[in-house]
Amino acid sequence: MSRYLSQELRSRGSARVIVVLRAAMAAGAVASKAESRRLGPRFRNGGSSLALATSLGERGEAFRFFPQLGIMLGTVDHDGLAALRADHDVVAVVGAPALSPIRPRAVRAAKLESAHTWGLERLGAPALWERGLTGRGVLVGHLDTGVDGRHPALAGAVAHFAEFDLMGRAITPPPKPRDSDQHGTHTAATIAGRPVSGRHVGMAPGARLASATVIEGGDAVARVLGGMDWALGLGVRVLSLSLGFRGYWPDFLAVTRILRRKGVLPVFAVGNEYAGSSRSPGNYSQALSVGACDTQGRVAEFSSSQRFDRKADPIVPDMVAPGVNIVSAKPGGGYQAMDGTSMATPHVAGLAALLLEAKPKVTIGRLEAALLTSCARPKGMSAERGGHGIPAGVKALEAL
Amino acid sequence: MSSPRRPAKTKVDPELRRQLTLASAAEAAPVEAVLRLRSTLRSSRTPAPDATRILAERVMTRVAAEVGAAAGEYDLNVFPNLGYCVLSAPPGFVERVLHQPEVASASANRRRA
Repeated sequence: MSRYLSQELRSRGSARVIVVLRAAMAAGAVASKAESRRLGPRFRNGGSSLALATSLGERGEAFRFFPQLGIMLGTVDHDGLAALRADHDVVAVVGAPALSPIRPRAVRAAKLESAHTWGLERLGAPALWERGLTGRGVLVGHLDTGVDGRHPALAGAVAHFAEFDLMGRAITPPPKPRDSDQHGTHTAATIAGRPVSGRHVGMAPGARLASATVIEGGDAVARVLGGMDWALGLGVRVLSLSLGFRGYWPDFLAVTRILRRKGVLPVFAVGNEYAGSSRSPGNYSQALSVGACDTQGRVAEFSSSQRFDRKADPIVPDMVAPGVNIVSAKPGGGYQAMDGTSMATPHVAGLAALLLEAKPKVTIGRLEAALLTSCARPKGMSAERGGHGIPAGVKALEAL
Repeated sequence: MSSPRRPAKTKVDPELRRQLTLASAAEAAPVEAVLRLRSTLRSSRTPAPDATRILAERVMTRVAAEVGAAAGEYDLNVFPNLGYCVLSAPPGFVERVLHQPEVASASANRRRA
């Protein structure tokens, strides 16, 4: 048994696991829902974490089923683990720790009541729209839990969609844009949501997305690499990533450098684990790392921040952006509010798309510098917590 | 098939090393490793997309010949735009791949803490 599994079972009495089904091992095979339902009772209902609570399957099942991948994701106790391992239809049960979407600190039902959300206003998006900038012609990479392409706010926004398996291969035939959770639809619409009845949730309502499912249901490095490679091949100029490993892991360091060399701005969330913490790849000096602030311009308490012993860019995040009470699209229609650095990150990615429309040939270094130059720290915000502060759209455009 | 002279040591992350040790001891399931490939050109650290595919295939073909593995005994997926690939193979095969000069660094595909 892996160390993760034994530690979790000992300390919590349960652990989050990936169950690999035998039926899907043959090339081209797809696991059946009936099989997943038969195994369903082995999982525990109502795990201890928000991650589990928001990852329940349809009809309130205590697991998620991924037929294309041939896996189930859920939480088990000792007995459930033993039963699954003894089952003939199960090839393997492995722990599912670490790499994960940076879960929102709070999720609330919400209505879209104003012409634009406070986050768009705070970063000056409406002022840039008035100058004719909407992100048109800019393709933004969005690697997350997927996206509900049928949401009215995302109509026409998703130019490309893919789902990647544990070896980083795109699943074929490509499914229609869908969200395996709620996280991806929310972040996608913050980047490039279209106005619905004159109301905006998206920073760059003219930009298009290359959106991929790389997380949930098997959190492997190759899934994210597959998504990055795919997005690079499509010609994205910005990559918005609201996921990461807790702590400092160098897995994505070289690839983040490659992204920059190939003209892609890596905009990564720093994490929601309070001061003194951070996530990779959001804590690399090569990433534009983003923390969260509230409507008063204060760094959100949960927003991670950390100082590293390195010469270049020792403090993360580089900047903070709106990440508290952010209203954006909900899968299936409607809107909901979430808190998190995952919500702040797509604001900055969308702002970068607006700037890239203005100057498509700008280098990534110059673009990043313009964003950083535009930042200001409100009174009371320390550099240790907020980095350079909150960016300002028009100022960034002028600095470009 | 002989190996070219190796230019530098492959950096291997401790988690991959741990998984290789466990898998070797238990003769267990294949190990999945993410490999960063090294450009053969002095002008570039990252191989070009076509070169990435060629390098990855060359390494696997060479190692398969060295260990006597059939093509179906390993699974390879190449990320040409990044200069990376991911390999799923028996631990002995992965170990041999880590000694190839084209491989700059290697890490575990799945982190199990």
